[in-house]
Amino acid sequence: MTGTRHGTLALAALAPGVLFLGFFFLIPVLMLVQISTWSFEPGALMRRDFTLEHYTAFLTDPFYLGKIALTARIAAEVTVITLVLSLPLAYWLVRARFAGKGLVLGLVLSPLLTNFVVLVFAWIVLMGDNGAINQMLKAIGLPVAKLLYSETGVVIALVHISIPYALIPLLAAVSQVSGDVETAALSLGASPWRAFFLIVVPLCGPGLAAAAFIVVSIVLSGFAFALFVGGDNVLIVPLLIWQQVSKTLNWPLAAAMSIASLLIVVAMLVLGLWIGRMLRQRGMG
Amino acid sequence: MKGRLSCHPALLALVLLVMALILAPLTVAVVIGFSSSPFLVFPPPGVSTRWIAKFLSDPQFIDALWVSLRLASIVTAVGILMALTLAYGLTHVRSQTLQSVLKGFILAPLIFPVVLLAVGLLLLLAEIDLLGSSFGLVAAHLIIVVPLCLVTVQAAIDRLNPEIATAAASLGAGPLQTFVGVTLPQVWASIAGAAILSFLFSLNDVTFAAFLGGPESQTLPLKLFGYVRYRLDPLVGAVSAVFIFTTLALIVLADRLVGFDRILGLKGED
Repeated sequence: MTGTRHGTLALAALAPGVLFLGFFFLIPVLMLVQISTWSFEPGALMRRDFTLEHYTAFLTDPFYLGKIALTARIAAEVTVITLVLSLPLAYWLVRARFAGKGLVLGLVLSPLLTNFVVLVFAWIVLMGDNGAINQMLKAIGLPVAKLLYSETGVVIALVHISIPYALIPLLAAVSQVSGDVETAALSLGASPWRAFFLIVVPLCGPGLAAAAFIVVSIVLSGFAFALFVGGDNVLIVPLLIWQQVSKTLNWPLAAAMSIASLLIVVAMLVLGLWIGRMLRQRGMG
Repeated sequence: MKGRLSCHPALLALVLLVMALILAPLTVAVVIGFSSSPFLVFPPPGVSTRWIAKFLSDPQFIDALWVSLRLASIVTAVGILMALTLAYGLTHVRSQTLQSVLKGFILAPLIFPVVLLAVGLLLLLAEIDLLGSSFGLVAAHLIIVVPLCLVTVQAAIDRLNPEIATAAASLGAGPLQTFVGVTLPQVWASIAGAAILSFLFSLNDVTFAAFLGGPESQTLPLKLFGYVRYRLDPLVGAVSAVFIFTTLALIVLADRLVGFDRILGLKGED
């Protein structure tokens, strides 16, 4: 008898949260799918019929294809650079021993807890043609770099915000790699870097995959960076979505672009996992 | 130990470089906030608090600050409560299948790009006439905050020794009494950490606010977002400085209270 009551209590405890997410997460996603198939009329916003014109427009129009390619390239660059910079940092944060480590961790993760506008503002100051970075370059006799309103600038800003997000799964991944395995490799004569690349990096595979997924997700939400740091020169897909929502008011197209880009990411993820498995099999064989 | 990579000069150099990259923009924003110049020049010609004073005496910005603080408090309180009831339900639901299906569903929002969630919510809120309301923005933040809190708290619960709860049950405590009186006090640190992360997430959100915000939900980041689009002066730096110092204070608090290594589940390698 009491067993049934416990079961009921558990279900009652789950109800509010699950219903809430059902209403504000599941229904919006379903509406997104539905509205992406409605046609758009500039005056009446949208007509409740069925069309795939937004998907075909997004996936065949040369303008949009170019922007998808640009977004994919930026996502790939940001992911690779972020992982290369974050893994050694995560490794050091886990392995090194020093006082005040908690605070250093907090500082390293602080961009994650400040808002995009603060960062965007700082990048405008740093990256302008006469900004702090270019003044430094000039002072040491190097040519001035075009950073603000360029792809390079957007990549730097996105890498910066991605590092703390990537660190979270990477810290967990590195802390699960036993130090003994590395000690064994060192005692067998491997150099520290060799041990790092042949033992730590492969064992962090799942963590690296999780980090890569998070970074791609950040790039796909990074419209604020593209808007301010990239301007009209770096129109990545999330910025196009935002423009459709706030300026053109073409919500069906915005919905179709959101769904299509999510599907592209899922495809990239599956491909990435597949490549990962191939590499692991080759490594074992 | 000699030969350890964690003391290798090349690794240390790389670590310092990455840390400098991480902290550079935050430092620049703070420095500009204390500029004495009426214009945006870096490095600033002198130090003053004129822009901080201007921010603190601008009723529009102060209103936005209050909207943000109120919103973040509501989101944090409701989010923690919802995550704790969900954690209770998930640990006591009998069917393994139901448990993993529900867990997957609750955590799903974390893997969707925020822009996609924002566009979806925009459609729903427009349909039920709540677009631009602060309720809409609270609901939007909760979609992220609830799974975030659940992950943090559940991880801590899973690390507990289950025999303590069994002992409480064998002494006659009901499951709810055991959860509230025995389990939760053991994981209070993670709850506090989750609360601080939730508060900071809500306080700093720009993406949801840019898609869903309106006159009733003009948060400080949204106000800044609009401001930066048309004007660039040290005022933004001043607001940034206040934001960054608040964040740093909460980070120090979280570290003192819980330890960041513990929030991240990194404890126990010493």
